[in-house]
Amino acid sequence: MSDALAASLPNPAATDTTAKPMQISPAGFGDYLALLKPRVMSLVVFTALTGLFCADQPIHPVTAFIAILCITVGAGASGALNMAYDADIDALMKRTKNRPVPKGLISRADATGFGVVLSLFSVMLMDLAVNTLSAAILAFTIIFYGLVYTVWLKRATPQNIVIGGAAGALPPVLGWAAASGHAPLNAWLLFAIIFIWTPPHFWALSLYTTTDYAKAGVPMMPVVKGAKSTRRQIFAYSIALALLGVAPLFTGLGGPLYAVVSIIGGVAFVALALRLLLSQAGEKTPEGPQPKRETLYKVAEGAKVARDLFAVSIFYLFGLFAALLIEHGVRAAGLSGLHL
Amino acid sequence: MTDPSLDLPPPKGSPSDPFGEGPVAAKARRNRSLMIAVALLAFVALVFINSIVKLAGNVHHA
Repeated sequence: MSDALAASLPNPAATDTTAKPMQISPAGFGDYLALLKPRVMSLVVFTALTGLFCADQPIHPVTAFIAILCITVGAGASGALNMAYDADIDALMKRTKNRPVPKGLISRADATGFGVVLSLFSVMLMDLAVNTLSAAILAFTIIFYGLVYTVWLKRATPQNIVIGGAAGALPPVLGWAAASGHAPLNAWLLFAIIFIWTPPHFWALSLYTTTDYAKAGVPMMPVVKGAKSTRRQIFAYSIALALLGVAPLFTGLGGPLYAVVSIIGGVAFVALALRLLLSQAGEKTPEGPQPKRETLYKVAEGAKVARDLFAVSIFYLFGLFAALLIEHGVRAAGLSGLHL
Repeated sequence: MTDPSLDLPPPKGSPSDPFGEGPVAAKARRNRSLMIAVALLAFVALVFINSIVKLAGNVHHA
């Protein structure tokens, strides 16, 4: 036996017989499901389904189901990878401290393994059952969110959610590519809407959770640049979003229902962003009265405009994509019966 | 007999519960194993159904 090989083997005499007994995880199905971020997954399913319908291409229902399943599982896998890596900062924030990894129910290694296995299965099945383009975009999305955003951007720059938002904006492109095998300009228009929607959405949230992010050392915009600069940027992004929101009307993607939703929604969004710009949301204010019921975050009186914009931003995006889904879904049902 | 190359010492619990995991952890482990089995079966079923769909599509095109 060579010296190198001998050195690589454990020394029986040095074996630690006092090592702790093997830890058996008490984590159940629900804990592993929580690792996949089900609420994020539901948004991903919805936007991917919209992209799939907007392609206006015949696709077998089984293939469509597998495509949406792969996108869902892929999104969940990147969520698991994110939770595995971010367990240290998750433990410091109210919103995330009860996640399975910081709570000690699932180890970081198990969460990572779970995420990697699901990623591999989802990409592999997407390639086998749907097409290579959608599998490649899915792989890129998982790597971008799980590595580029989680490992690098999130802790490095206040532009973290701006750049990282690309991962969350890709599902409609994925759905479109799954149905048609290509990703035309209209698919990227849907990507752009979610991409531009992400900063005002998350910055509105971070305006009333600043202390949590600061405690965890996450360089969110209000922590680094202050509330005033954040409110200004939210307003600028909101104008861009409202304009981009009506763009599908000129590319043949949106119809009359979409026109109503995008125009009314866009005006409401900009109005709320203007109200936020003129407010003191996110500024340090004296402690107000305690809320009557238990809430996750105590929203200061001045920051309620930020919470309103956060809530409306969800309805706005949902409205835009629901309008497209209805218009293209009705067209697909009328054209080809069972085939989408 | 103990294998000295193993990192962990041999389990010291009773034969029915060698790792001393307790009934709750044992139930959670059984459920996890069951879920893995169900997920693998679902994966096999999906690949099979997809194969049939693709073959049927090729037959129609032929």
